[in-house]
Amino acid sequence: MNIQEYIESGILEAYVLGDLTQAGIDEVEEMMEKHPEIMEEVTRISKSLEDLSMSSVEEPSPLLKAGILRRIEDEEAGQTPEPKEEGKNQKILTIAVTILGLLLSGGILMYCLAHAQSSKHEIEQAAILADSLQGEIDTLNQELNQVQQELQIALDPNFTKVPLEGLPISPNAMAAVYWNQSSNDVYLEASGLPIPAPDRQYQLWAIKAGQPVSIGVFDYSSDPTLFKMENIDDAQAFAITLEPFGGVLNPTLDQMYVLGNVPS
Amino acid sequence: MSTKTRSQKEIVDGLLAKDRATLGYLFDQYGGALLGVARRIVGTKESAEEVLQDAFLKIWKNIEKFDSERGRLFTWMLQITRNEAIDKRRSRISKEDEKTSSLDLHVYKLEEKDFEEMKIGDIGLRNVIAGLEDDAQEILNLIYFKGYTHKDVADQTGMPLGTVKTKLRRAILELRKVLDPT
Repeated sequence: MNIQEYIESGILEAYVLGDLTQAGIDEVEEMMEKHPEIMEEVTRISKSLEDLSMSSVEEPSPLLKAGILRRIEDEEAGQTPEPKEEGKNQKILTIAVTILGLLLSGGILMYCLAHAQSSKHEIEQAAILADSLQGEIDTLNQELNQVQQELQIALDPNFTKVPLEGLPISPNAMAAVYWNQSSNDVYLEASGLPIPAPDRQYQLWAIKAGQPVSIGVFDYSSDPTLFKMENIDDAQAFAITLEPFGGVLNPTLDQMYVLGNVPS
Repeated sequence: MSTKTRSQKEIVDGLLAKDRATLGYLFDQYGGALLGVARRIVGTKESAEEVLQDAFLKIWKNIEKFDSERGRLFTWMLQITRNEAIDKRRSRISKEDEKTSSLDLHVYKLEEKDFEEMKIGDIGLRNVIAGLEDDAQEILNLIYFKGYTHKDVADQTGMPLGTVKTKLRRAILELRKVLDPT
C-alpha cells in the first residue's frame, strides 16, 4: 500500500478519534515517524476535528470551571489557590463560589453536628439495649442453670417422685414432689395448680405420723419450675392447700387442692 | 476572554508545572467545545458536565502521558472526553435495557433542528453537512457527533469496516473545505 492509499483508507481519522486498537495505534505512529506526509495529514485531520468541535460549542454552567478547579484543589490539598491571571468577573465568581462553599461547609457542619447529636443518642440507646440484652442473657443463664439442676434432680435415682393428684375442689389440678429420703431434700413442681387470688398463697404440707407439717409456702408459677422446699424426714404423704398470704400453722382442709402418698 | 492566546507548548508546560491557572485557561478555551462533544454523546447537559469534570481531572493528572511530538493537545483532550463520554453512556445503557443501544443508532437525515441541537451555528458548516451523501452524513453523525466507534457503526449498519473508514474520511474532507480552506 502506498502512502496516498494509506491516507485515503481513513485509518488516520480513526486514529485521531481514538478508535483504533493498541496495535493499530502503534502502526499509525510508526508510519507517522517514517513518513512526514502522514504526520502532516494527521495534523490536518486533528485540526479539522478541532475546528468542527469549536463550531459546535455548548456553553458550560457558570460554576463548572470552579467545580473542576475545586476538585483538583481537594485532591491536592496543600497547594495555594491562585486564580491571579483571571479577570474581574472570574474573581467575583471565585468569591461567590467561596462564599457558597463556606455556606455549604457551614450547612454540612450543622448537619454533622446534628448527626453527631443523633449518633450520640443512638449510641446511648444502643448501650441501653445492650444492658437490657445482657440482663436477658443473665436471666436466661440463671434459668438454664435452674433447668439443668431440675433435670438432675428429676433424673437422680435418690429422689422419689411423689405425684399429687387433684381433689374434688379442683380435680384437674396436679403437682409433684421430689423427695430425697436420705438427704431429706424436698423439691416441688406445681405449675398444674389453678392461678391463686393475689392475696393467697399455696402452702405445701408433709403428713408425718398422721399430722400435717408445713414445709413452706411458694409463689405460684405457670411455668414448670422446681421450688426448693424445707427438708422433711419420714413423710407419708404430701398435700397443698391454698392459704392467706404467708401461710398458716394448720392447713385449711377444705382448701386442699392436691394430695399424694409416698410410694412405699 | 482578554487573555492572550497561548501556544500549545506554553499550555503543556503550565500543566506539567501543575499550574491551576493554566487548566483554567484550557477550560476557558476548550471547555465549551469539549462539553459539546460530551453532550452529543451522553445526551443531557448534566451528564455531559460530569463527563467534562472527569475529563479535565484526567487531563490534569495524565499530562505527562501527552506526547507533543505526535499530536495536538486538543486532539488528546478530545479523545479523553470522548472516551469518558462513551464509557458513561455504556454504563448507563448496561444499567438500562440493552436494546436502547441499537435504538440510538437510528438513522435519519440531519435537519435544521438537529443542527440547533448540535449547537452548530455556522451556516456554511450546516450546508456542507446537509450536502453530504446520505451515508457519509450518517457516518459523520454516528461517529463524530454521537460518539460511536467505527466498529459499532460497521456492526450496526452492516457496512464493511473499511467502507466506514473511507466514508468518514470523505465527510471530513468535505468539511475541511469550509473549516480550513487552504
